[in-house]
Amino acid sequence: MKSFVATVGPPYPDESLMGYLNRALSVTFVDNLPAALRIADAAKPNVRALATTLQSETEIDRLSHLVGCKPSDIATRTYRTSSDSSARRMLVIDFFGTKIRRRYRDALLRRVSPRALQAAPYHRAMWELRIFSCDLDTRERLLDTCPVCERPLGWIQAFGPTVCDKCVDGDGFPTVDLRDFEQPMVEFPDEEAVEFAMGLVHPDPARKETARRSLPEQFREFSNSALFEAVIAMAFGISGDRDGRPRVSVKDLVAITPETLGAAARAIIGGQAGFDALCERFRQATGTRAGHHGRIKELGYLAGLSNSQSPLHPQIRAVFRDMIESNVGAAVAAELGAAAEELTFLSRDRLASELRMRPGRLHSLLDQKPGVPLRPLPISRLASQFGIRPERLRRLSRSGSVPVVRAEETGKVPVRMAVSHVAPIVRHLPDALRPHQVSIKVGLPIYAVHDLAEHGLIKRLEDPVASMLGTDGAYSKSSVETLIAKLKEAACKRASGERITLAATRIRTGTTPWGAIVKAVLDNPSAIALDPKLKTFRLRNLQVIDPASFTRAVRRHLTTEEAVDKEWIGPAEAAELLKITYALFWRLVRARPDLIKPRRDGSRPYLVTDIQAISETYIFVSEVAFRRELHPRLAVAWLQAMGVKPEFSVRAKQDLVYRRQRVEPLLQRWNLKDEAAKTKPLQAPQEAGGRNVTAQKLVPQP
Amino acid sequence: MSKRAPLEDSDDRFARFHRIVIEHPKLGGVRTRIRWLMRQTEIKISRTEERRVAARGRPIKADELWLLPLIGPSGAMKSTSIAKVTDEIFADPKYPENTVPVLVVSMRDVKNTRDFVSQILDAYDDAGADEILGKSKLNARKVASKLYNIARKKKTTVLVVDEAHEMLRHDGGKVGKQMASLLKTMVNEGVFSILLVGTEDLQPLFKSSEALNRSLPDHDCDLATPFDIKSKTDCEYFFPFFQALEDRLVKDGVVSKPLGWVSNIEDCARIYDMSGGILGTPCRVLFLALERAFRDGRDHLIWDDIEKAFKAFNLLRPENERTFDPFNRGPNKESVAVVTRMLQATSQ
Repeated sequence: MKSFVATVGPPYPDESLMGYLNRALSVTFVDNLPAALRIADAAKPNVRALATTLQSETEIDRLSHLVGCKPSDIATRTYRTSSDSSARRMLVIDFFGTKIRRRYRDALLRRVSPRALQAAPYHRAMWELRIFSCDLDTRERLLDTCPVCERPLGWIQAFGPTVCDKCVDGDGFPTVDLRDFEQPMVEFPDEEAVEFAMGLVHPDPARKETARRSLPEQFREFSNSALFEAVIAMAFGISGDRDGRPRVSVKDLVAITPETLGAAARAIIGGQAGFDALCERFRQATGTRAGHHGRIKELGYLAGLSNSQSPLHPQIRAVFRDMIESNVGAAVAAELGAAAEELTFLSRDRLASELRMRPGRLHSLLDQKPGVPLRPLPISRLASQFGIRPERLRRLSRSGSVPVVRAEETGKVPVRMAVSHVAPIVRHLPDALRPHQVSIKVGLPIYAVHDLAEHGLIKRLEDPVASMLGTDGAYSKSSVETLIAKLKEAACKRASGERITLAATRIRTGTTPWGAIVKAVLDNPSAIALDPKLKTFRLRNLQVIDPASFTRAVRRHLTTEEAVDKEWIGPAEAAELLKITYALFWRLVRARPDLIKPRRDGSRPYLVTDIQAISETYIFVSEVAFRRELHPRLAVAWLQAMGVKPEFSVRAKQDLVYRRQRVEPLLQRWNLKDEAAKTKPLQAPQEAGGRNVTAQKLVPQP
Repeated sequence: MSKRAPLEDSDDRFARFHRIVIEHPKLGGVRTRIRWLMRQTEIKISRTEERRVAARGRPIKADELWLLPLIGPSGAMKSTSIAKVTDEIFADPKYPENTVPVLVVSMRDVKNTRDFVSQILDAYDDAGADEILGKSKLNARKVASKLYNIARKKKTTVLVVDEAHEMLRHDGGKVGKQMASLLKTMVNEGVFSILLVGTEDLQPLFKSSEALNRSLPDHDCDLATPFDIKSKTDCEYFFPFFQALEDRLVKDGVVSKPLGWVSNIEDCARIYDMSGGILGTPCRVLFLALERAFRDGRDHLIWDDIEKAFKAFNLLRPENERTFDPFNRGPNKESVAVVTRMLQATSQ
């Protein structure tokens, strides 16, 4: 077989096969790769995949003879494809002695670094790897598209690696020299780490050796292939917002940057510190991993790499598991500060006693060996182990009542809490009642529950328990039941008298002082009675035999605040002052906290002057309806007909509030029977809108 | 007359005949021309190469080289002379073994530019030769660029295109123009200098094609013109050449005794008339005559062999190339007179 007379000599040590053939054919008459392969009797259906499909030794011999090089020059540049030993049987290629996944290599595109081509005009094999976006030596971003014709650089026409194969003049000569289009430089934030990552697969054995010298002891036993796979997998995880599935997608590989590559490589060569830094990066995206929990939620893809589904070398997985374990422990300790010691090394016996549980049972629950310190657990695990709903623990974690280890400051899960902190709180849960449950059981308005606790009649539980229940306060069920039992016992007799709610109005403290009343009842059980036929106990059903003496007895139990502070009123009294219902008052409080401000804690938090000021400024529909002798809905229509618009509404289109200054003259005029004023709208009719006509019908005709 | 059996050793005698190479009297001119061309080309190419290295592979305008014609009538021993000179060059230890300092290709049977480039690649034994034949379009600049790589690899400085006039025979001369353009591009791109060797038919190409209209340095080569025995110098070259040839025939055992074809004035005039001043014609007639003599069982020539061989040869030649037949009514009177006068002048 003939050979080409014009040759380019042997390939460069780090030159790719496609690049070498491109360069070799560029000086011959056959500058078309498929044609050259035909001459060498080595034609392939897809010539772009030549580096992986050129396997036959005779074909290699013929091709090397044709282009004038040694067969070994070509054989060492072909990438033999095989399946790896993992369960997935992933395809790997032998890239200059390092086995890498086939998808890391881009066989279609020709990527070049113009600056590197200026130094030496040949195509580096490293440029074939799509995971490297820049040239290692020049640090220039690789160019894969012609800057002039904007078409991808290809391999079929062999005009040489320095030119665009599509831009040719009338004579067939390339017109675009890629060396004239220098690309932006890429910063290597961690130079050593990036060089390590690239060195693992570099065709130059000296670079490989240099890379291996950076390895810490625990990674020295692994091959370059295993280490490179680990680095790329980690860098891939950083580059995108990914969940815990350890799969590498080709389209996302291009997102790997020197920065992410460096961070991933640092996790290998930087020991535990480097790995911790990487964990921190993954931890920052914790809140974005919906639908996951535990380590996958916290560390995402990185945690996925250490599990059994990971494509990494089994021993590397094990090393990663240990490092993740260590990192999570350290993260917890850092979060909890001084409390970490206590949390982490909580005695099992102590915990068992807290939970009132046998130590053996505790061990089986926690699924950990005796002697191993208990670590803070994620919510899902705590919930399953304590047998409570996760929502309660989530509320607890948000309340700030217990130290919490979070992935970030945003308060997103996963959240870890110490077993020792949660256990004492959980213990109270079976005995906890929400305020409305207490109010139902006792038969009092809900505001009275707090008053009862203030007077020590029922036991208020710790705030963390209330947090778990999602309420303002939590009360001991047993204490409530004890109180009810006492009251039942005290009142279990039939007698005539006045209902206790009526008798309470004689006390004139504004809000009914239920705490003082119950105390008075318990002090003198003979003063009250309860119909034994009533199946359900309700405190407000009590009968007061002697209301006058009962009132005096209650006054003795009134607290100073309730007794003397006439300037202070409770919500019920405030509602009365505003001439609205108790429910509307609370709606108003919630809707306009700026308007109604409690000045202090306790059952009478509002200043009379504040409420009076509100009353002087605003008027509510209920008062208008009362004074105008209309149904509230018709009162609204009347005000609209009069051209008065509401100032605001407590709910959407409901609970309208008007400015008194505008409504009061209308009401006064109505009272003066001024007929003219009755029909004269305050504003122009058109402002009143289409409903004006209807509203006017409401106005009584003389 | 009874016919004798052919000579048994005729093949051997012909082999000995073919081995006889007598230097053309004007070969020195051809040698000088080719050597001059090579020297000048080497200088220019080395300069171009230096510039190319400095340009780091970017395209440059190469120094133009030479394209020279070597025109002579058919049978003027052009090809033989070129072959002799190239053999000398190849034997020169100055040029390494794997180099081709002078590349000789023939235009015979070349119908288009593709064939021509393929001929060159074949001469180099390049793998792209067959691929070129299959191409529908050939760009002269691109060919020149590719040939440049090959020529530098083989250190070729001169391309000798033998039978160059053949390029005008095809396609009404259209191919000739394309070929001229290709050749011109090659010298312009500094691939190698070109020596076009052919007959007078080549002249129109140089006249019509502006590209090839380069002046021919006339100081060193007049192989192209036939011998004129009126010139003393030519006369001193011409007849001794045939005498030397006859001596070699006898000496090498091709024939047993000489014919004496330039032994007297009349014979000299006859040979000159027959040749028309071109050395190759009597040589070819001699070959035919020998063949006739050996077939007749004779180991020597007689004038009858020469006469019949010449008549057959002359008949087959194109009409414009036919020479005077001295066997019809004796040699040309003028030729006899000139030969007589020249020999007298020489003897004095």
